[in-house]
Amino acid sequence: MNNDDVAGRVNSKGAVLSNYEVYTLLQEVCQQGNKGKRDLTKTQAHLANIAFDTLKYLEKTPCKHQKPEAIQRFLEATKNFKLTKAEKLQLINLRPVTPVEMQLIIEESEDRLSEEQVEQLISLVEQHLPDPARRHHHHPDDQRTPTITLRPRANLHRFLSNDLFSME
Amino acid sequence: MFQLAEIRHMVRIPPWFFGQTLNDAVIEELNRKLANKVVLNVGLCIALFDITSLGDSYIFPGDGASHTRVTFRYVVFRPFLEEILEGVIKSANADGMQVSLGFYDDVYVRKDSMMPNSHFDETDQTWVWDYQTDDDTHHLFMDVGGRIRFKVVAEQFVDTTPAGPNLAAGDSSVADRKEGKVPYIVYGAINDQGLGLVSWWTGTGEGNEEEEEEEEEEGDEAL
Repeated sequence: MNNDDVAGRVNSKGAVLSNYEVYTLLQEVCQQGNKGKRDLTKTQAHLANIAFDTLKYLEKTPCKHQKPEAIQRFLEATKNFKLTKAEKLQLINLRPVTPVEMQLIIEESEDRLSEEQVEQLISLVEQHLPDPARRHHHHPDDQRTPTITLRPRANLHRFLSNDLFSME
Repeated sequence: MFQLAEIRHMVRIPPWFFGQTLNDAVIEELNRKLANKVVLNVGLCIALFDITSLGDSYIFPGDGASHTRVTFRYVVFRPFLEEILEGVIKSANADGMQVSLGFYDDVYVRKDSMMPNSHFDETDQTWVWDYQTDDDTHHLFMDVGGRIRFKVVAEQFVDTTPAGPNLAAGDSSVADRKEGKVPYIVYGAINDQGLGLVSWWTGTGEGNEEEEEEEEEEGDEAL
């Protein structure tokens, strides 16, 4: 068998993950390492390193304060803007709040969106996705939840990919 | 920036892991093998997402380990083209800048991907964008350590599996090793509105001035 040692890629399309999904997954990985019988840094040094470094990077991005419910509400609210999945993903990951950032993320935004629509999109981002700078401002619907929400990974992914990618 | 790669692989479980359940052993083996490594044309592997199918396990003559065909999904870092990302400037030279994301260091912004009217300042060893307003030219420095936003314009995978010794070429293999081949490079561009240092585009542009003042104050204290 030739491919015993070579990892064969089955699906070249590759579903895209939001930063929030990776963030929660890696938190689970690190938690298991802390609680588990074996020390993650000893048995799985590579995994521990990359998980720790990636978490550190993601903690500086807006995804740290996001909740699945908020993301879903945001996607609902932006349904009518005819955005591509890549654009929606970046709106969630980067949380743009200035017109310059919007134009950068949305291709040919001058032709596709009017100035009012860009402003509307910005206010939707501000309304639904929490502002990292103002941590104490909670959306009324967001009940105080523990920082680490353990939810079935596969389900979360299904919900996001359906929402992100089904309506083009 | 992150993707799920679906991969099929024959996983070898050595006998000393037979005490665990097959699932646990496979998860551990896959993470040990792939985490923090670049797979050619797939990306930088981060962590196992889930296992989609486990085949039958086989034992081959002369090997006490079991072999199981596994299909799984792995989280990989592989930004798509035109994606906007943020990182920190790691170093700069006349050819361009290197940007780090913390877990991944091989983002390069080449000199032809800078803003127009940019130049490399030899004394400060930084790239500078000469931003011209109607009556003045502002020198916007891109210091090492600054937070930078870039657009992904190209990617490059290099097969780094060691080749056999090249007897004809002699010393060249030694030179190769010194250079340190990078398996996965992302090329970024900052030549568009909104790209470049994050502080340029937030608020009213006062960020830079404040930073300069702070630096001056620190300098005074040191004296």
